[in-house]
Amino acid sequence: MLSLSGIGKRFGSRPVLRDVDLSVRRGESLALVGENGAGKSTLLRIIAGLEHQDEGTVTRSGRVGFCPQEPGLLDLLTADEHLVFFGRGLGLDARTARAEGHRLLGEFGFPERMRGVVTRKLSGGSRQKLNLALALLDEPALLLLDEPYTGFDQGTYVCFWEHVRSWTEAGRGVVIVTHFLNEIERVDRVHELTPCLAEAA
Amino acid sequence: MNRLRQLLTIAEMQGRDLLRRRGALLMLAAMPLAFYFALLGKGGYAITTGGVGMAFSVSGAALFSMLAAKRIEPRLVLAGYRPLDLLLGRLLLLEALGLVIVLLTTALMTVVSRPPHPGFVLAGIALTVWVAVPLGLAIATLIARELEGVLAAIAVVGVQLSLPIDSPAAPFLPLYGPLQILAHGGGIHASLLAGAGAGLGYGAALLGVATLAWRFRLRMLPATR
Repeated sequence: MLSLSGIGKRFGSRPVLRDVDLSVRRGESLALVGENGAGKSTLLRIIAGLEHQDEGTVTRSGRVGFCPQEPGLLDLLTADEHLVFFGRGLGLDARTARAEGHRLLGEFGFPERMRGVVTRKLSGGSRQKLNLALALLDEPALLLLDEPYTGFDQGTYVCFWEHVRSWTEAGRGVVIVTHFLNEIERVDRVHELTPCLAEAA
Repeated sequence: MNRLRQLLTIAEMQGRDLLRRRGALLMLAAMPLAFYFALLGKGGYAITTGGVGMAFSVSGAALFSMLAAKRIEPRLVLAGYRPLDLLLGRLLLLEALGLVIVLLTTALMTVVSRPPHPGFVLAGIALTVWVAVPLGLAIATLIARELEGVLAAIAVVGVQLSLPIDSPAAPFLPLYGPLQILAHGGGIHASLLAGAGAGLGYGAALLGVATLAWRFRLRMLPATR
């Protein structure tokens, strides 16, 4: 489902990723861990096709659902309007997009009364829940999640990891950037990225 | 059909976002009026200055509509929108908004200033919108940072404002064409043909620049399948 071979990336003269190989099969979850600046988010963006690698190849199949670390939302659109906006891109009509979005938001405990509120007025956790629901719309085959639980309360956080299991059981591949090493037993495999300090020095 | 629906959805969502910025909309309407009324006793110069004020407003609206959506747009492309459609949808919205501004401003200037050629005032304002929307889009795609983008817009429109319309340097700036038409509409001697040609040309060229820069910025990198 996903295979990376020899991925390298520099920002100017600063190397960020060097010779990264990894793969994810259908129904498998993989945690990307590493220090700040190790290139986890950059690697996820390369996998999504939002960033160009300088070296190596990315091979993937199926549609990607990408949940960035910071919710990329329009401040003055409501949650419902975001669902319709993203849904139309996926070829869904407005009613279907809203229905599926409401189901996903409900699973993460997004308050029903907040669906019509502009995202600028939502809490950080609620914005993140919408961010995640948008990535999950129309059941993508490969999920790329960059610390998707930021701002979640404890209950939603635990629930999130249960969802990861259900997504893999449904045959999806899941790549999660995480700092929480106590959760890594919840995923099938872990890939640690190390900062390219030696070369940078 | 799906592509048309997507285009309309982009315009609709951008419109919803813009219409909820009530303070910005108020400024958008007030700025050309402030420029115009500041020179009300100066005949045709009030009309050309009002046109410059409108260029500030419209290019600013275009610039900020792009920058506000900067972070969501790569995700929208991942969700299935074509990068070009995101630009076209926004263009559709801004030109529709521009049409409303054209009609209202022309009506006001015609009633208040009683220009000798009101038809040319209408044409000049329409040409201002035609140039100012792509100007804002081009600056936003090339610069993509709020402060630097605003400063670039102020520099281009501000220099145009400070130059007399018959200055040898004026044709090298994008609002030369609309200002020639507006000047003629207000009874000032100006070059109509050169103005029309320059206005249409600058608008098209700026749109071309915006499109190229946009496609480059939002290029998706398909992995090997």
